[in-house]
Amino acid sequence: MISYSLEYPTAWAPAMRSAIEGWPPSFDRWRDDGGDTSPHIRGWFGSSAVPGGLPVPASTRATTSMVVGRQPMTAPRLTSWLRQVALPVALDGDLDAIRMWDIGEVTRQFQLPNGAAASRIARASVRDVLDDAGGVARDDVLLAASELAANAVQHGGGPIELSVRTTSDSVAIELSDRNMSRHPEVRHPPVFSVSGRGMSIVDALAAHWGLTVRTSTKSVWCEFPL
Amino acid sequence: MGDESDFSVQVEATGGDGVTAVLVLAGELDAYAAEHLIEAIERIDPAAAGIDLDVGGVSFVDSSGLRVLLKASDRLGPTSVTTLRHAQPPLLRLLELTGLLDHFTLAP
Repeated sequence: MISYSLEYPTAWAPAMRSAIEGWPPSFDRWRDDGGDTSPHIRGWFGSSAVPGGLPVPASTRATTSMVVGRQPMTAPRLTSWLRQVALPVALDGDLDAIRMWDIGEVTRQFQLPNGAAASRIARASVRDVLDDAGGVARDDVLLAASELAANAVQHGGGPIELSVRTTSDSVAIELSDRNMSRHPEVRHPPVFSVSGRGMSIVDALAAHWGLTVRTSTKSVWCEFPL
Repeated sequence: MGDESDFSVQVEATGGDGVTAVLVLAGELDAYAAEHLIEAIERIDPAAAGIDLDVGGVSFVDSSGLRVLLKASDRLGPTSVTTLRHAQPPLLRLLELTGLLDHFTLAP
């Protein structure tokens, strides 16, 4: 499985989101004959900088998306696909400006209980992966894992799965559940509010975070440099 | 792993009229631990003068844990003082991230 990310102008974000949510059958064009490639596209909603790319001023937050497939893709093929399938004609601007990079492969997957213990098991699992990778267990990564797991329990549904993806210089954690009708929000609750802080914490800690919608699961993920 | 709770809370004083309640917390304060902490908080006398939480042993806290600390501070009403004693860097960082540093009284 090979994953690529795309950065594109923020102005395209609404259409990209509706492409994500609409999940047109034409996404199957990505499907390799391997069967389980589950091509999907991700919105990067929390990005203030892009790995391997140019820093993006916070005021003009770029939105990026990810496409996953079994075959390596070239940038021209990808932009051609976007032009044909993912984006409405109205958005057919300078697609050549899209940047693309490889974000690594899923390293480990864990099933989590749909209950109060999910967060601590998520933390222990992430700690294991980081230890195996020879890295240091980073407090921010563990906190984000805890928040995403708690959100999956509270707002998600069905089986919960944790994926940890590492590259030589980054780690991404991803929590999947089966509640397709509810998407994460960064809320800034009143100071004394007792809830609604999880995603704003993830937004503050992670270099990026985003949403992945597949045919029967949704995932919230975030990425940290190592 | 699921039954391994390294979180503990001891109610050293439930407080009372003019007397501060004292709880000692240790371990990882997350959604799992929060359930135990809520039970302990409910034992605090509503007439207590304030709540003193010794959090020196709290090595991790997330927003689920923070939520219960906020509930503790709400228990005695808006004029009461909730003190976090010996707060460690993970808790201080979360309080800072969430803008709640000023909501609690910090004590050495």
